[in-house]
Amino acid sequence: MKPEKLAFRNLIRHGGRTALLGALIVLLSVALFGGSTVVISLRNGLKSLGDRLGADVIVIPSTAAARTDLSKLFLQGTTGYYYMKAGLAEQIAQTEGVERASSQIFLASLKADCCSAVVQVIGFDPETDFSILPWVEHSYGRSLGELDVLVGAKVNIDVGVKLRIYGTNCPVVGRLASTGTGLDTAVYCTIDTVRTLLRAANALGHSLKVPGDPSLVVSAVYLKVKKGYSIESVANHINIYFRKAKAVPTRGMISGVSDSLAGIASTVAVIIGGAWLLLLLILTAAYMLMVNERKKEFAALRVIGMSRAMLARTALCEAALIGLLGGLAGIALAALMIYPFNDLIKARLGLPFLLPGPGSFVTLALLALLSVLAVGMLAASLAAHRLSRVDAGVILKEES
Amino acid sequence: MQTMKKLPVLTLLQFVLAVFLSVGIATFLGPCVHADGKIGPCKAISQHLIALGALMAASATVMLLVRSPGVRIALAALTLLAAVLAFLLPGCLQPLCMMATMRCHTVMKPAVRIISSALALIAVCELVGGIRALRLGKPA
Repeated sequence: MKPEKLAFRNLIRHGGRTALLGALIVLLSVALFGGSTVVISLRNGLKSLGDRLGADVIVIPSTAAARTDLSKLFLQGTTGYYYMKAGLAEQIAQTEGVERASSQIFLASLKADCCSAVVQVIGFDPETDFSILPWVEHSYGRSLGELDVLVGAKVNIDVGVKLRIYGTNCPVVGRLASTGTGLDTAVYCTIDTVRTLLRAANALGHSLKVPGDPSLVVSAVYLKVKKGYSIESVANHINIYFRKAKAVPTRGMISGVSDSLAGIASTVAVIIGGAWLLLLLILTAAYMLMVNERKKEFAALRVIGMSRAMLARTALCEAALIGLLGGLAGIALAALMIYPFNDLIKARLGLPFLLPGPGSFVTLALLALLSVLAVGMLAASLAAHRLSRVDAGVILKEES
Repeated sequence: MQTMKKLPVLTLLQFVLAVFLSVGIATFLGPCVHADGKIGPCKAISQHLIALGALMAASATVMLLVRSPGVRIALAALTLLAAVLAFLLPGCLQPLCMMATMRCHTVMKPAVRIISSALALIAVCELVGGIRALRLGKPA
């Protein structure tokens, strides 16, 4: 009988032992594949957030800065609206060191108006925008008309349906690609559309604290700083000279997320490393304990003509088979825990979370499987060596 | 030698999963709870899912008691249909709440999809087993 076939039969025959070793391998592969996927998803989310923000500095009204956490708006999709005079935005755009400036208007829909959630509406200026437009062009590819809206990846409304905001029907013309951030829960349109909606809200009697004519207000100004100028200096300059505005460097916002991510990544790395070492020790101990139990079995195999090399190969084949099956089961289990529940994980972590694509998934799964196989084979190799060296005569004499 | 009666592991697993689906949806896997007391579209789906879970649990109970292959095939087919329905109900056959970040999207839908897939797989195995037993003329 071939060693591979013998190894397979041994595993089937000793179901309890196989299940126990397999469970250990499953644990290792869940920790390895699951942990790596979570860390990579967080990194993807952080990169995506950086790409989507686009701006170096975001300027909001100083009254809003006191009560609004900008990072919550971008990371968790918390809704918010605040306004400042458009003239102030124009003055800010003239600040030395500012290369590009684009205004946006925020608006929160009414819950009763459209289904069962308050939606953040973000209006951008297609003439000057440099943060949302590349994203829109990538996902939609056309220009937005009056009242047309694009929905974020996490807004569950089909394209073609009309979204009713403050009594105004806004046709949903497209869906944007997922960013893994709070921006996925917003609705995007042109700045003129938001101004129309502001007027509609005013007409319906909703107080949105708009200072004057809706045509002359903005919520935030996104700034790109010229090369050679310090982002912090430009932000400080605005904070000193524009009393009614608050400039927030986006780098600070991202670095806060980056710090949290580094903390999570190091925790996951410690867990993976610990699990790896612990399981290597447990598996080695388990295989070594089995040496005594299986000495007689291997002695009998030696007597019927199996060579030492074939015995070692049988033991290694058993380890490889358990590693393969346990590894695949662990990867499947981790994938079942992470992929369907990724929105829940993102909500609990409160950080940008963007799952890796199919290519990265396959690569990660293969790497995890190879690593698990390596641990299993490494742990079994010492036992395989000792088993192949059994003195058949002595063992069988002892038994008789 | 007395032979031990084979345990209907798959049917027991179907029963446990179906009960877990119903109890889970009624408790920790339930629909969105809106702060203002309004009921979202996911509430109705959750009630249908509880009913489907109860139906599959009842089907498993009957399968545990009846050994006739014909009855078991019919019940397995019914379970398969109910499992497919449960899989498609949240999001495909009936719309969920507006935001994909809401509880019905993040907890209820994925949990239902995983449990109903497992139930469908079990039902297929039961169906194949039942057809085989019918061909051999033995009790399933």
